[in-house]
Amino acid sequence: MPRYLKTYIYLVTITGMAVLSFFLLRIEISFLPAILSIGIIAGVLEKFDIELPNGTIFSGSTIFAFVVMAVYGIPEAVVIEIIISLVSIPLIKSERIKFLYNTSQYIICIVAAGYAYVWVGGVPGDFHWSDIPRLLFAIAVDSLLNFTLLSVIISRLSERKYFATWIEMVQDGVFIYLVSSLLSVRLALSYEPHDQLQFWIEALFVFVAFLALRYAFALFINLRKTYLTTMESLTQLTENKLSISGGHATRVGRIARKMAEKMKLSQDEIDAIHYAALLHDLGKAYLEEKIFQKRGPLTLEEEREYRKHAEIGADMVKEINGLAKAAEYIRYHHECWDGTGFPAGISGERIPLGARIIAAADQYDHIFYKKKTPADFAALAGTKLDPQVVEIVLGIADLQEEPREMAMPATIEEKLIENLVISEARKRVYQSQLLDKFGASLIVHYNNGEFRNEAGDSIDIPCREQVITLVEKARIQQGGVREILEEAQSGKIYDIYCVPTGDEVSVIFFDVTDILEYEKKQEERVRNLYREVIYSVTQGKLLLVEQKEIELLKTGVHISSHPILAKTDVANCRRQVQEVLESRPLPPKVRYNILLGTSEAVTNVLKHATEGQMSLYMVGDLLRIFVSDNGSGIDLSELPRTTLMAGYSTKHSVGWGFSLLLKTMDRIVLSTGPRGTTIVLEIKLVDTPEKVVTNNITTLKEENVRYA
Amino acid sequence: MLNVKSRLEGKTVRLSLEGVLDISTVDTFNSQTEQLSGISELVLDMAGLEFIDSSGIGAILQVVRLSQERGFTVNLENANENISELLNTVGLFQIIEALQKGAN
Repeated sequence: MPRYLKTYIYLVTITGMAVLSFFLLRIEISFLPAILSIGIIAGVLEKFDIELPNGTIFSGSTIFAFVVMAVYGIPEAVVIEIIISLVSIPLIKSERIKFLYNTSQYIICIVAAGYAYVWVGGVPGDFHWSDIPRLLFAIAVDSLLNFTLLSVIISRLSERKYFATWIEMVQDGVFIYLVSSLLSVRLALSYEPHDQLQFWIEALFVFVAFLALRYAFALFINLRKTYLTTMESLTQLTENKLSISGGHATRVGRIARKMAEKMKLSQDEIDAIHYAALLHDLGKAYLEEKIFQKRGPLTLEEEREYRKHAEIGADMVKEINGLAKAAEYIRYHHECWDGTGFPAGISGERIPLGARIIAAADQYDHIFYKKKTPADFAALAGTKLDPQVVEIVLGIADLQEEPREMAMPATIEEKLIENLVISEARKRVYQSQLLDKFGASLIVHYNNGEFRNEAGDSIDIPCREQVITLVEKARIQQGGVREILEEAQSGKIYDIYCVPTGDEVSVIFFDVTDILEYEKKQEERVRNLYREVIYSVTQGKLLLVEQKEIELLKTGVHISSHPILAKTDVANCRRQVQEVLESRPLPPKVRYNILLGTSEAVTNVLKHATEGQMSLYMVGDLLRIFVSDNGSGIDLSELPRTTLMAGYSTKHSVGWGFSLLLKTMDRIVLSTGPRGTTIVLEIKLVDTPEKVVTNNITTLKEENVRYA
Repeated sequence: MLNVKSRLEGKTVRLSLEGVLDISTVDTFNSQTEQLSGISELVLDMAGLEFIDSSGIGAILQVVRLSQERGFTVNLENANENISELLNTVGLFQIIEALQKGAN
């Protein structure tokens, strides 16, 4: 705590205590029973304060201080403030200096209010209709002085400008001031020194009204909290499925809410933004999982698919009652300030403010999750994000705490992970044909550097060093960790799950050596089967091989290679092939077909991968066109349809590519796997009689056709 | 490269294609065809078209679909030998014929 703040606190405390000792001597003893009774009511109200939906705390207790000041006197009001202070502080935390400071502040404020009342002509202890404006003035003085004193501390603690803090408090305080004034005046007017029944009934009325109000607000806030928690848990479930970092939506929701609150938007708007932020990625649940689990860059096709999630999400949320506004924010949350976003490509303030806030919160969470700095975030202002919104985010001091805070998962998340881990393990076990081999699985518990089995005996485990790292990771994150480890000595492969439960971490080992071996063999078998089937149905025209066999085909003269990165490379590659063909006496039809084949193969790279290469080799008269890419490969089960069915494509394009290739080439060799696909087009550059014949037939047929 | 020249003759639009129609040029082609409306016939004059592949054929199919929505006919004219054989192989002519019969 800085020195000036300490000095300030002591100063206020000393002043307050001095004022207190001055007034305590002036209390009218005969009033004491009534004052203490009122004090008790005020104390209870202080204890049962009301949390307004915007987060402000409102207590009805001060009303009684004002009333007592007006109908009894300033010293009596001081007593009420002391009772309030006694109720509020020690019950929360027994910090003496805090109690003394608060009490002093209350006393100073109420005394100032009392003197303000006297200064404008009021007489404490004798309240009439005509005194109403005076009382309102006194309450205003009390509130403003209270804000003035409190802002010194609050601005320091939240590291904000003093004046800004003060203004904010005054804005938040207007509603409370109005309610307090209304009830104070009503209560003060009902006071008759000789017939106090009316006053006590009114006091009771205020008391009950406040409790009812508290109940209503609490109910409302609880309902909202339940709603939000439900949504947060739901989004976490989807996140698990989509490989998004757990809690992302929850964090984005809370950050967006803070921003909206900071911008003083209406309560409806704040809620709409919070809901939209929570559900901003809902549309992803609708898309194919593999797009989100893919580690490499997305292909054009996948990118287009991915971009749909904003609109799909918006359409889904629109169906939910009361979330129409939120749906619009979801629709535009991927728009960029400079207009380069999607789906509409709008820019600047044409993007709804809510969507701009969510975009900023989303980026903020991504950046801090990757442990980058505020400078990385600030760099996005003006390109991706609204500069003003960015400034607001950077101005919220406690926001940086959010990602860390959320990294400690809520219990629900913990349970979810646990369930997921267990159910996944179960599923794998039950589905496996090698169930019996799983007898070797091992369950151990880790605590204080030791692994123990179910019986509690300390035991040795495989891959000990690496498992300890995993276990520590699971314990620090308080979340499940899964890893596949290979033990060097035995060559055994373990699928290991670490699930933290409090201080302890349970570790489950599955020996998956056999199952992996089995799967590998199975895959080989399937591959061989496909290879044979495809080879025979295409009459030897399509040969499916392993990547290493492709390398064996790179014999003869290497003519040229060309990278495939952009659409223009399709034309460039054709030009390369054309150069080779120029020196050959080939019929135009054959020439065209070779270029067509090149075009199809190269276009496929752009459609299904992000980059590739074309290489040309000549062995005698045989031209080999190698086209390889870094895509995720053709699914084996899709292969017969992709290669054989005219018009079939896995990516909804015009799927003529492959069947055209087969028609026009002498032979095609294909190798496909998760790390890429290579296709080799083979064609003899000689004008065989057979080719001439087929060409003539098609030409003849064509002449008889009139096209409409 | 692809050059597309557009000419309006009454209610007929004639697009003369010059160059190649592949993935690198379909955008140029599409930008010409997307805005077509209020016409009764579209003629794609392929006299100057040197090369087309499945991406290009896909773009033409898109136009055919568009013609169904907006109520005009599509005619392909002057395709060279190689191209008309290809269009025949993939059945584009049959598709156009079938669709326009169905529409009538």
